[in-house]
Amino acid sequence: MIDFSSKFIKAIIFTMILLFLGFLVLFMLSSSMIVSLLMLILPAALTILGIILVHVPFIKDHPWILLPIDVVIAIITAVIIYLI
Amino acid sequence: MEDMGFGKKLLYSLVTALTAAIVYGITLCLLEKAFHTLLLVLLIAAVVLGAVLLVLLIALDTKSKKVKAGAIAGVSVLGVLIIFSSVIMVLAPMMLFPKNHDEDAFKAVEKLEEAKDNTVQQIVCGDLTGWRVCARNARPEDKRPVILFFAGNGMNSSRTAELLLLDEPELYAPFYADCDFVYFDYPGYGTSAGEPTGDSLRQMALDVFDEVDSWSTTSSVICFGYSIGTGPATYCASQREADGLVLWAPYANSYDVYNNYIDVFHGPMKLLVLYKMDSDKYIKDVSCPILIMASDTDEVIPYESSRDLFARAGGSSDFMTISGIGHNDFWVTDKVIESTADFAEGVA
Repeated sequence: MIDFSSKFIKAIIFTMILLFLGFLVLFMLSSSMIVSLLMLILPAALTILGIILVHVPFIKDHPWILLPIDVVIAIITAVIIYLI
Repeated sequence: MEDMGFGKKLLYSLVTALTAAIVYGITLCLLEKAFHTLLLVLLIAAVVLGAVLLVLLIALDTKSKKVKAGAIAGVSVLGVLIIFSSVIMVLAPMMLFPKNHDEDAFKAVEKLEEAKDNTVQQIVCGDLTGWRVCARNARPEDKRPVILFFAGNGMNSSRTAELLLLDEPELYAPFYADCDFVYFDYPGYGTSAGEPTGDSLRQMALDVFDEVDSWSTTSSVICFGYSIGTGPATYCASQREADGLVLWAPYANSYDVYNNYIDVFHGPMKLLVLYKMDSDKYIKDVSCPILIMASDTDEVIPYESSRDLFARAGGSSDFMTISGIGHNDFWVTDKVIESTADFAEGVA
């Protein structure tokens, strides 16, 4: 029996890494330093934030909430950078 | 989450953060209209490669760990190369040809044309449009030389006509004292239709030359290229009976131009160069007098590339080094403008 779900998750993560690299190359070549730096800083900062947040009582019980929090932060950052 | 170890918490946080970073990238691409095509290409490439990995993982399920690891490593390297190539292939032409049109300048020059005092005329050649700045010392019916201009990638004909006639008439007077100065916008620029590519620019160069040459007032045609426009200007002079060729900050081939923007086009990466404009091949067939001007401090076109082009030019070619000026300073350097006008006067 093939374990499909674990392979699917691996493929999804692979796709995400490729997308991340693609955006990184794109912004490094075409945008300002701050845009490409944020592409690196943002995931690092959000990872640290995530590790901290999973210890907060409410989020500890509802870990899925971390994803919308990160996504909202990312969208707000992108809009601010675009407007600047 | 309480049952999770630190490793799993870290992995979970990493994946959510990676998702957020991708959302950041997608949002920025959506906000920037120019990046829409690139975003689509990137999404398709990544999803297809993810699907390839999934199929591979299923197909190699019963194989040894060594085989699986080798296959995954292969797909990963291939994936990174494809993503990188996709970005470069879509991005480079966008950076090379930032299509633009200056509506204010267009209206200002249009107003001059409406005065009907033979100062400037809007010109059309198929889908291409541009401006003809008429020779100041000639009557409308007089025969006179034409300077046929092929511009830099950031320029447009309306802004240039405005610069020549309204903003800096004293500085640029030598360009149109006894010659017509003709500038057709590249496809996609100004009000010209089409897309700027190597092929379309080559075709455009021949079409506009034939158009200008067919005017009853044209006595001779001098091709004049600046920066990216030196490619079509050189090609045009190699294929048609031009009377002179002036090149400001020329490049030997398009790899030199691409590498100046993104320095990766060496070896097999040269295959990613879509804008093919090999002036070094065409210049051998140019039989008219050539004047090349280049700056040893040009930050856009390497001086060596201009020298390389000159080395391949035959016949009566002249190379002039303008020391200490930047790429955009050609337009504000008296010596450059006067030398160009003198050359045009000499060959016309």
